[in-house]
Amino acid sequence: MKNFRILTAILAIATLFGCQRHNVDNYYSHSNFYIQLTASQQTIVLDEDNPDATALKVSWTPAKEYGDDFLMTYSYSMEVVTSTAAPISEYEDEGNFAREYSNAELQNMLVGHFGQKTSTYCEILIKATATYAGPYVIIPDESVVRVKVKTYGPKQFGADKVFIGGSSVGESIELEPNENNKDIYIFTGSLKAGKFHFPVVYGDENNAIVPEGNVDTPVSNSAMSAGVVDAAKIAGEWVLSESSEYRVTLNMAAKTVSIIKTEDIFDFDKLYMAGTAVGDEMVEFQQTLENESVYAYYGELKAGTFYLPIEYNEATSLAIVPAGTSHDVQDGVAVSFSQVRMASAGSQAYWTIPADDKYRVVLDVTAMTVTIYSPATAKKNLTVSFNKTYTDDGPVANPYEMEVTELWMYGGFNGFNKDADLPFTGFQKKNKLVQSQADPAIFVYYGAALPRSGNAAFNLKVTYFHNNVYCYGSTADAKRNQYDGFTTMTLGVPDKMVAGQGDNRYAYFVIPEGANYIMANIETLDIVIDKK
Amino acid sequence: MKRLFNAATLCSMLLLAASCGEKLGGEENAPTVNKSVTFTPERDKLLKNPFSGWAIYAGLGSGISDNFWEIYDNFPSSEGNIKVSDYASLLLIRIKWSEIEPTEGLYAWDSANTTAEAKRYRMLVEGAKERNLRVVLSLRMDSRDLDVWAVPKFVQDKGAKGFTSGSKSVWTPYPDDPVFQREYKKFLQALATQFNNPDVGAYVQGVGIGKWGEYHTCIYSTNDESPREAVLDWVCDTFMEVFDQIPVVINYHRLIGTAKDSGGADPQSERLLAKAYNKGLCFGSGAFGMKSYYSKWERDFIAQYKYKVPVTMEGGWVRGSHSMAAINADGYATWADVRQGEYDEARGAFVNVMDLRYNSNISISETWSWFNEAFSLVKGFIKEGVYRIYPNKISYPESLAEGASFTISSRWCNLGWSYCPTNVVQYEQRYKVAYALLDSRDEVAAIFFDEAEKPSDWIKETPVSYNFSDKLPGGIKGDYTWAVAIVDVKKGNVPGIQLSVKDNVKTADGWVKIGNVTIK
Repeated sequence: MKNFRILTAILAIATLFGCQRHNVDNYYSHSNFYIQLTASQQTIVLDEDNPDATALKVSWTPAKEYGDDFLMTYSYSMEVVTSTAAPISEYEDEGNFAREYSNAELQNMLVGHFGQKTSTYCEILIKATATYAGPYVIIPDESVVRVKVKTYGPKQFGADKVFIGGSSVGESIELEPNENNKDIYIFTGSLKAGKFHFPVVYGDENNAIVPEGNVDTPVSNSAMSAGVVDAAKIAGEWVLSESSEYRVTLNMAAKTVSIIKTEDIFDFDKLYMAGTAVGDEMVEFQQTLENESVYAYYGELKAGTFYLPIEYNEATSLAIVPAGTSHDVQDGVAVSFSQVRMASAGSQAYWTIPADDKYRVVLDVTAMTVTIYSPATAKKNLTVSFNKTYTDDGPVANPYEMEVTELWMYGGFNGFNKDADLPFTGFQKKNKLVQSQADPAIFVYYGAALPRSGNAAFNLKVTYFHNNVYCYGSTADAKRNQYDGFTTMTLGVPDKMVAGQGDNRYAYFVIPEGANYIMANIETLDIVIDKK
Repeated sequence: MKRLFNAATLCSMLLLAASCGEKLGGEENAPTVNKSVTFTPERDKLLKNPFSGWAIYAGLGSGISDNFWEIYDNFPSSEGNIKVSDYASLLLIRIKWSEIEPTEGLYAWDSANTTAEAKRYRMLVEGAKERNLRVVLSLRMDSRDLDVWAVPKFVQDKGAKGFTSGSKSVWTPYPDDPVFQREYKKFLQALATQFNNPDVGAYVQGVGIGKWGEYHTCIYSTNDESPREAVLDWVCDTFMEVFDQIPVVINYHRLIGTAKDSGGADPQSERLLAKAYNKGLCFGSGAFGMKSYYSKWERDFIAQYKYKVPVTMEGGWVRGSHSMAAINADGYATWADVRQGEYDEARGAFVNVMDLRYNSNISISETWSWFNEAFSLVKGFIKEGVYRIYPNKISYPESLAEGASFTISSRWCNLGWSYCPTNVVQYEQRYKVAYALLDSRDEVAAIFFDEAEKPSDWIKETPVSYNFSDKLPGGIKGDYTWAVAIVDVKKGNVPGIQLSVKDNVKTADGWVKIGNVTIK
């Protein structure tokens, strides 16, 4: 056996060196691709009405023979190039060099195994291969054909071209995909009382996007589910009872249609604060870190006019002002708002800030409300009391009371590194949670992915002077000087904190991989760590 | 799908077969003409051959379900309920000595032993027999991390020295303690009465000492590693002496026999494991798929023993106790990825056996994971991993004179990545290639052994050819059928390793029919 293997190796090496003296491509193509695979058709549209009828026949010729010293093995496989499913492959040991597939067999294979969509084209790669085992290496003999197949079944919610049509529209109008999101098609303009739908062209199909269920459906304020049918089989459309200016949005990804009167639209890219209460320059009204639907400001305002200009599509033409005619602030009450032209804002429509003071202004874009808090109604910073042992910011005076305005991460997660200008090891300014503008009990870290040195653990301290200060630790069991506790956090899954200056200082949260966001509520003692 | 039989191909094959006569040496002055036949391989059917296939894991502790077989006979899978033993060849039982022999001389197989462990033992062993599963013994004599003693109390009472550990103060004997060694050998001999028989036992997985029975993190009486080599010699020699009919597997751990449980490889490990190999032991690892614990050292080590010894694999990741974060950190996105990683590593080590581990919460067990998250790999190992040896082509004489010489030419193939380990000590005088003349009742009229044809030489994609010559015995005349098998010579020459050809060319006993011969 040993001599046999040595001979095999010598022959293989000799073959390789031999190849170098030839034009390699021609050499191999002439000598190795002998087998010929043929398919009965190159393009097939599967026929749902004839499931048992033959859709595809495949056959191949015998491969090149290399004599009795070689064991030749045939294999046959089918794969869909765009599918992640494993190829369907089999050995052919009995000389049956042909396969035949019915419509239903191909349909089941493509949809069931390869995960292809119904009523969609895909390309099947079919391969017949002969491999050789023997005294020296022979490149497999192989032949491949590609067949394009269209499956049957429910139509896909897809479109190459989209139109809006129906009695509300008149002659159909082609819509263009949104520049920023190609799944969105928007129509803005006049629609008459009547019906509308979306004719679409998709591949070789003329279809229509209609209300789900293909029945007449009155329009509503919320997103309406849509379906797709053959253009010749429209039975239902969206029904519009009032002629007006509308914006109609077709979302191909969500399979929904939304309709809104243009006068009710609240779109913005940025919000600002303006008026004599703010000063000569507009000041950006910031989105909160903890809730993307909430914008907030906490700071000084002067007595005077106050409104919120809206920037949209690089223009500031509208502003948020109180609904109705009153200019009064309803202190601490969430109120609805209107949008007016900038020309009216500040002169005709605005809130009147009654006196110079520190206010909290909160806009909820989901609820479409604005709340203005004067110092009388604004929520105060929470105060904690603990045993102060450090003198960095003044003498020890216990019990020590402190308003919580920031939280500092402390633990092995950053290798106990510290900033040079901070007095105590482990504290870094970049690992600080900042107070929410909307709610002083909420603190947020949102930035770079957090380090996970050591055991990737941290808890939250109210100041950076010492590690024995008032702390928000995890619920894990811990005992000072005996053992630490660790709560393994999962991205996006809330957990609870334990507040105080006891054993909770030794109970840590373990940072999940990739986390770059922490939100801690020191009032409800909730904490969530996430990746955003 | 309809298969069209290519008539032209069939005709050409028949013509080819008919024209395949070879003049070979036969009776003097009367050269015989041999006829060639080719055999279609069986690529899918599970062949429950020795030291091969999936191993179902079980144990004797309270974690094992009393209705184990009921669950495993109706096991949920991604393709509906299946019977696990339809895919497995082996039942691995994790055994603590104290479970088998709670009091000296009273064993789990004794009907007088009514402990829960003994009942489970009998339930498992009888169930294995009913399902044609051979039993693998996986021993553990180390109590660390257990709530109970792994070794029975009488061993300590007899004077064995050891150490206690854990909150339950469980006791473990020092592996170099002479009393322990004496008593352990007695225990192994008792086990051998039940399992040192390839009809019942498959092999012994591990020698039982060290942490978790994995032969690392060893604590010796000297409080250092000075007894390390002597203990390895003793334990290997003892197992090989006691289990002379079924193979013994030792863990190829980079810290084999050391006091350490992790870290880089010990410089003596490779030499000591080579020593175990030279004593006749096979290799296995329980860290497949864990990229820290099964890495370059393990891959390089086992590559040296490719097709020299059979290899067993056990995955290291445990679905019920390791977090997603942990497997993510090892580069796996899902548990299906873990299974694929284990499979790929198993293929790289050319393993003979893969594991289906147990958890009392079935839906988080590795068995569940394999059948629900990687069923194609379960079938893949059966199809392409286990050894599948068969005669691809045989030429034989169709007509012979009484007492004539004859030559049979054969070409053997193996479709699996693992090899047929007939070279291991316990197998090498047991399994042999034999040709037979079968009478009309498929009974053996004459048998011829070819010692040159060694199944352990047949590896994937390397067909091996032989010419075997012998002489017919006198007194045999008439019509017979040539047949071939790998027979168990210790069991009266019955086929002992199933050949991977279609059932329609096999006798009920497993002989593969080659063709007819007339002896005049």
